[in-house]
Amino acid sequence: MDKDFINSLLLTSVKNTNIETNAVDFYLFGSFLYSKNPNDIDLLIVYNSNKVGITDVLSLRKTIYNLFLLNHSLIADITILSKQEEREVNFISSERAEKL
Amino acid sequence: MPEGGRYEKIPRPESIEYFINAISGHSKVQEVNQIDTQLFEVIKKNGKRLLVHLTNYYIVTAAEVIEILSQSPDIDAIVTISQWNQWSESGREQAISQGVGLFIMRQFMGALNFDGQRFYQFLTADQREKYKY
Repeated sequence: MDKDFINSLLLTSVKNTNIETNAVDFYLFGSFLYSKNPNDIDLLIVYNSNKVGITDVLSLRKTIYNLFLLNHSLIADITILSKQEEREVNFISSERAEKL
Repeated sequence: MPEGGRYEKIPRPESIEYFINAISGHSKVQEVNQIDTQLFEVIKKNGKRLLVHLTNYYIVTAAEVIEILSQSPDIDAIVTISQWNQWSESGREQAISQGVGLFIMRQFMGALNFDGQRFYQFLTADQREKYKY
């Protein structure tokens, strides 16, 4: 499973919601980037709180989690941050997360 | 749809054991009881009872607070256990707005010395410096 495929899965998940695709950004981090046979995947969703509500993002996370688990037998460990929170905690930089 | 395991960010068994031992040993605590996997009852020596949700989120954000409180609306505190975990300011504001404290572990240990508003608004000295509250 490469990054392009993961990105296509995530975009499909977003398109099945009311969330605008430009309201969320996805990042990959952790062992999935470095392991040949990962058994989980660390994802970060950064959302624009002016464009999407928290409950919609939580719902998107459940959808993505189930998608990876049921179709790909992968446990998705999904962190959610608003853009403001990301700036506060600097997660992308500290985890060397790669944008999808 | 089952959504257990990592999704819920359940602390490791050794982290749960650490939490119980640390809180049990606090000078203001009478006893600690594990009610559910992530839910703990803390009885203080002054008779106050706290319900605590223990998690292992890297960062407890506003979204995580909303999700946790939707599942456990009666809790008094959320504690994220691993020493490198943290919370966001908006996560803390979300929790406090609902009368719930949001803590990392050593912050929670300090907060247990207090009750009410002073409990759930407690910050360590370095947090007060960082956030300039």
